[in-house]
Amino acid sequence: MEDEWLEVQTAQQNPAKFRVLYNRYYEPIFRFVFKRTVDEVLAADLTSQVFLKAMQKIDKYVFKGVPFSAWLFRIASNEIAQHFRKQNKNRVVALEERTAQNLEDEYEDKEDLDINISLLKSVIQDLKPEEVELLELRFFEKRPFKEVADILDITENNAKVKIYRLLQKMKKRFVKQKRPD
Amino acid sequence: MKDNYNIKTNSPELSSEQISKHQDFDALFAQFQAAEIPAKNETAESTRIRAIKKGNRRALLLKYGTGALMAVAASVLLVFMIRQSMSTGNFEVPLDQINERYALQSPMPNLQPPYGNLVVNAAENGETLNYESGSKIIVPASAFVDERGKPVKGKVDIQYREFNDHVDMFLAGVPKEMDKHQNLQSVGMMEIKGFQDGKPVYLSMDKTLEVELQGKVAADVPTSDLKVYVYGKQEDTWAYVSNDEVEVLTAETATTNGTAAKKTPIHPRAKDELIAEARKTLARSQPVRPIQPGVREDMQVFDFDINTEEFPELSAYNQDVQLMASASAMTAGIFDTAWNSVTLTGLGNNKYNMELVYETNEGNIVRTFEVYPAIEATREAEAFYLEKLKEYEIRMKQWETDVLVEVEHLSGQETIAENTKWKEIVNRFKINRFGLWNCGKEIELEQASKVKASFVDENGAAIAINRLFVTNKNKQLYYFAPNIEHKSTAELKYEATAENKIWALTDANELLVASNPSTKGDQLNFEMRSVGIIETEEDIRNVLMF
Repeated sequence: MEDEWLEVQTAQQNPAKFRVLYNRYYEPIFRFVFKRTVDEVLAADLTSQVFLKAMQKIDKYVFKGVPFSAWLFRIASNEIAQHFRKQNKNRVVALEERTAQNLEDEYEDKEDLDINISLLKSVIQDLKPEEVELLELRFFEKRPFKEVADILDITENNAKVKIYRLLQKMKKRFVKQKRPD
Repeated sequence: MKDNYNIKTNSPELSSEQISKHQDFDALFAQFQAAEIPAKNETAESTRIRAIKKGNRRALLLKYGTGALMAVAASVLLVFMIRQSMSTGNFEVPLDQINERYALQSPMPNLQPPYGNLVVNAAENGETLNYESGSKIIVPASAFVDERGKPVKGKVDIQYREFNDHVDMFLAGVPKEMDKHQNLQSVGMMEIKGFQDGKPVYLSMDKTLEVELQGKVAADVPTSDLKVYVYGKQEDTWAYVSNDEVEVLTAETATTNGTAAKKTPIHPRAKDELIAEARKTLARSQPVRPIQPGVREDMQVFDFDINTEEFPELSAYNQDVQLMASASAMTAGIFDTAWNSVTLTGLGNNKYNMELVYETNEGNIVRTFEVYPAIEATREAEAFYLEKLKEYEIRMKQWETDVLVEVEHLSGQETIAENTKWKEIVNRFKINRFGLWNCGKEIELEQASKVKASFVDENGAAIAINRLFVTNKNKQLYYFAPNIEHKSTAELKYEATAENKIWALTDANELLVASNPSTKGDQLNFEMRSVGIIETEEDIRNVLMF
């Protein structure tokens, strides 16, 4: 990680040296954006924007234990949110059939929940954007708590607490939706 | 169920190959260079100079990679050398010259006025440089030194350009900010820099360059009190340097008996107006530029049932043509409403007006937009476009010749009338450093007041602006007001009784032009119209000239 900080410092002195970082993180950032847009052309555009912003703001990046990749993911997250806001469109959330099962496995009393994809969709619609982001990072993309925390610029403990609360909140919704009476 | 998110299930996975085909660092780097980041002014400036020297703006982006490296290397070296020189007490170039490695921040780098390249062949002997406008720069012997104060020998490249009107100043990004420099009139402005082998050179402390700068001034303005100012980036001020020795020009023409008779020339602005009139006269025969395939990023594309019999130009590509409009204007409501009538009207230059009408008992709701055809950028479409573009350029050259013939015809009739408005002048002054120089004077804006202005689009919706520009024709003033908070309102100082042109840039760098203001309480409301697609300086002049 500290080697990478040297690379960042080199890029801060000479923007042409940013190429190394760009080549390393292009695919992860592209996938991150694509998961949140499900549109290849749009993902390419937004990814370019992410790296352009990163080049423009790289002077402000100071290594304090948070990896450079987390800084890039943060920019990507902002760009995606800005895009949907500007377009006045709802943000895309990509789900897979297995996601419901994976999420169900997070609960100890999962047999009471019976989470399926349509139920999950319905519950997601009631979540706040920051909760959806947590859900995506932790459960859809299976990122470790530390990485989730770095991307969201919070402590690891805080990330754990937030995710625990989110699971509890969703559990209530799953139960309620299952037994609407 | 609420509908807060657009949930998509089992979306396709992309392979690494699919992703890598979008990966292009060189393109990104060119974009980065073109974006002109304020924090990197000095680097950006140096890079641009190098690229413009090549004389090809398309090549400019490709050249940026090595240019930037060299520029960064040069500035690192420079700092090192300054420190070294200062420590030995052998520093001969004034520090402000070094620190004024000046960079204008053009809002549209591709359209900014290009530099003319002049070469002092023998810096040891001196030379007079002639610019295409008629301006002259007299360079004395041994005028240049390097960053260590050592005399420069051999050829020196002079980068030079003039800003003749508010459009030139706008496109170059001339620093004339409201509340700072708004009162400084310009009757001639120029930017000059010197380089040898790509490295900046400086004027020796004991040398000056004599400048004869062509300019113009309103006929009723006295020229005896005009002054010369130089822009200092560090202090962000225009500093008074000297008085401007102004000569009001007259041109000599031969009379029948061979003696010289005096004739007042047509002033450039008068010529602009004549050209505009000639263009108007010949508008019907003006070739139409082919529609470029592709969609701009800030545009929203939508389907529209087009009658190609009415608009035959839209069937050229054998595609189902869609339309596009500024994405910021095309809200969800536009698409969700069942409009009673939709009308499309051609505005020329591949621009159309779309009017949507929704009838209600309380009256009609009308929305209007400027829209453009959206052609899918297939290979066939691109090839067809390039072929048609060539034909268009040939026909356009012929048409421009016709315009000039018409201008000659009109000028015979209008010379006397136009000369009562403007006079052509030469500003004579000496410069002791490279940079941005202005001739003019501080003007009292007696009738000016600071008002709160608000900006709306053609449908009355508030529109956020990033920077507001004003030019006052009567006083030859140009200035801008940054709108730091990106609101749809701004403080604006201007003279309502003068002939003004007001325009703005949005965050997305979209150019908006204001129509005449209406008053609401203590506030002025400007209706801002998007200029749409801008490809050439002429597109800008068409909307920003008086």
